[in-house]
Amino acid sequence: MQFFKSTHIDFIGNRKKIFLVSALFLVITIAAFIYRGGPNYGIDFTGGILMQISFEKEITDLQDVRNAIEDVKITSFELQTSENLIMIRAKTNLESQEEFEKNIKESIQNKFPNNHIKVERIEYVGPSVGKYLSKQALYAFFFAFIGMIVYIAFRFKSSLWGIASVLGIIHDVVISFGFVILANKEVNITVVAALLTVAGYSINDTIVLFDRIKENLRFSSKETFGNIINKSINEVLVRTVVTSLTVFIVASSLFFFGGEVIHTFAYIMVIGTVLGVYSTIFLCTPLVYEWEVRRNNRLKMALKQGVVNSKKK
Amino acid sequence: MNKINWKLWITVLLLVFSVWVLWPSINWFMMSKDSKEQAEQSKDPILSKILKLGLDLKGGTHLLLEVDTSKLDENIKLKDAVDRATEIIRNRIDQFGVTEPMIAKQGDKWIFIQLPGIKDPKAAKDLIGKTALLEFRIVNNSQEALKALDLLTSSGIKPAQYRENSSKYPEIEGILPEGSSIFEGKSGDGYYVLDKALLTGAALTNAKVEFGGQFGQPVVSIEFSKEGGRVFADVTDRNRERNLAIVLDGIVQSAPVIRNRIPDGKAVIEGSFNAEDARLLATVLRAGALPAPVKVIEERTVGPSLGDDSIKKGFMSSLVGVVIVFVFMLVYYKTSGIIADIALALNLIILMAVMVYFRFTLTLPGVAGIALTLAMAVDANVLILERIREELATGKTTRVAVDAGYQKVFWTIFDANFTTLIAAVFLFQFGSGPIKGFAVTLSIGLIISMFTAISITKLIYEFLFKENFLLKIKI
Repeated sequence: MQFFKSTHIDFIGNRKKIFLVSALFLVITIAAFIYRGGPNYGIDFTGGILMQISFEKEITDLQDVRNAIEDVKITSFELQTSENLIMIRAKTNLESQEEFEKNIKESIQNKFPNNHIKVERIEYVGPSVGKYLSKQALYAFFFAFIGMIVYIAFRFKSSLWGIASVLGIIHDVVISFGFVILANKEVNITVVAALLTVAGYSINDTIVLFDRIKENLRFSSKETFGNIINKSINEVLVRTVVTSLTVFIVASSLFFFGGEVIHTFAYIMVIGTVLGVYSTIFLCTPLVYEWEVRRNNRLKMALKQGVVNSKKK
Repeated sequence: MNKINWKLWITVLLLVFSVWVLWPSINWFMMSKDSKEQAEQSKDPILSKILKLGLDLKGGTHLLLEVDTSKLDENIKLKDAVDRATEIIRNRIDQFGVTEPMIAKQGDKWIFIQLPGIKDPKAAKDLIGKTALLEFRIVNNSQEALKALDLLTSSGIKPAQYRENSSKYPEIEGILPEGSSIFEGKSGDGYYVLDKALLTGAALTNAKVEFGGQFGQPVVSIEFSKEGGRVFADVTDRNRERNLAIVLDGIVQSAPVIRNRIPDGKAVIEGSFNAEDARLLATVLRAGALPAPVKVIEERTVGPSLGDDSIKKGFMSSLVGVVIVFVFMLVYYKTSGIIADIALALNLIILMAVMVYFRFTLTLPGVAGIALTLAMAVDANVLILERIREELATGKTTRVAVDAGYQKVFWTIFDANFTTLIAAVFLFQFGSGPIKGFAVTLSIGLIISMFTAISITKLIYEFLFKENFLLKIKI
């Protein structure tokens, strides 16, 4: 079985039209950022507390829960439910975590005397830890990016290719982040891990194509650079489709069946897979093309002038 | 013995070893809930041979404590204090009976604690957080002391407030005898002026619960060390008919009158505590006092039922994804698809065996990491197979095409895996808890997939070619 035989699509010729797609994505990201008023940082970064409480019987009126929490003088919180589970999130910086827990538990139990409750999950992050985790997340991205640029620059013996591929990663990570904001998902440590995975996947894809271009450059020196790139993209196109499809299948399965924690992770992976492939073909490679062609043109100009100059003599 | 046989044997050996490592975990998985609990209670040796699950899957409590350095004695170095606090907390937890706890210093003044499968996180937190500074002080009933007490009560200051910053109240500090301070009695039965501490909990060798009070209520009996016993005998000898206050964390537990010299270094702490309080107190006294108070700055507690739910969902979703990928490979690449699937299955088995053997922790994001690894392993095989197809299209024979396919994409696969590994390593370095679990499965998975997706599939082809099972490849 084969999805398609050989293709001859002119990717390089159409590059400028497709740059518009990236521009559109970026506009969506910025729009999402403005519309949502910035990312919805979770307690991992802001500090705060999250409590998940299960009820023995299903709760009929959520307002009662809300009232019970407000009764203990907590005003700023988010409340989520599914079946007989509720989740309370308060991003205030709490000095006395234990009191908060106790008060909430008692107040809710009082409101529902015949419905036994159990605390299933508590996440408390103090303000100093929130700062620490934010710093760690930034470090992770920074060093991972540097590590990748250095390795690719070393492997392709050109910092240009390294920079182009990292631009691709940044493009993918930023837009994935935009989609996180758009869906108003909470930005926590798991989101950071997912974004780094997108980065890993994105570079993986870029390397496969760059490797092929390098290989073809070695063997067909008579062709133009644009033709070689087109040929290379078409050659690896089947592989790109098949691989993306499998990653997409796995990520989708995690998305639909993986439960709450993995859900966001999978959401980002699904978007990241598509972006990773897209950026390799339509962003990184055209960037390398533009750059190399311009450099060559300059080189030719310089040569021509050199020839003219020498004739004058 | 030729080259192929030799490689084949190593692969088979590795597989056997993996299954052997995984065997206890499989058994464990099949066990009923009751026998699991029984094994955990009796600390069955099987527990150290099974896959270690993270708190998000198993349920349990993760705590990050901060040592309050502002209350630290000036003579003690911060590093020593945190080290000592870590050691003391470790002792307390050991006595609390948690299977496989993890206690470690993190950074300058943080202590990281993981208590898997704990049923009552609240009690554990109380136990860990207790400063447990035990002091023996003589009650001062002099005129000056009474006057100071009057002053304190009339100005409405609490003893704790006074002790916190005594220089703020010069009128009281001025009257009080040198070295003495004001303390509160348990359950609010008045204030005491106490002389300086004569003995502390550091001089204890043992503490245990007894039911020896007047009405059979629980008391904590303590035993001093040799040196401590001598001091205690001396103190009781010199202060007959005076009250000796036993102060725990700044609260007077009891202040019995000394009738006689106590030579054997034994004493009893009476207080209005119940059996559970007494047990907790005895535990913390045995383990020693914290050099400074600690504060919980991060807590993540997952109940066991939520953990079970996560296991089911994480496992199911990965299984569905993996099965679809397996079937897809089979349909799309036929015979070669089967070979790739064998490699994938091996990848999974070896990955789990490595996790068990090196006692790495599997977390929920770790499960996602495994799924992702498999996707990357599929990518390696797709790269190889597509390349073989291309080579075949140029008219090469099957064997040559296979060789060329592997040779030409090796570095591509290596680079792709290696750069992802870079991301995983930094995730491990800077991530915490569950995320670390993701980085672990991803890193191990990537390394193993390099081996299974390239070496093992190649080996299978070579084997098939050699035995002439495979003359024309079906892709």
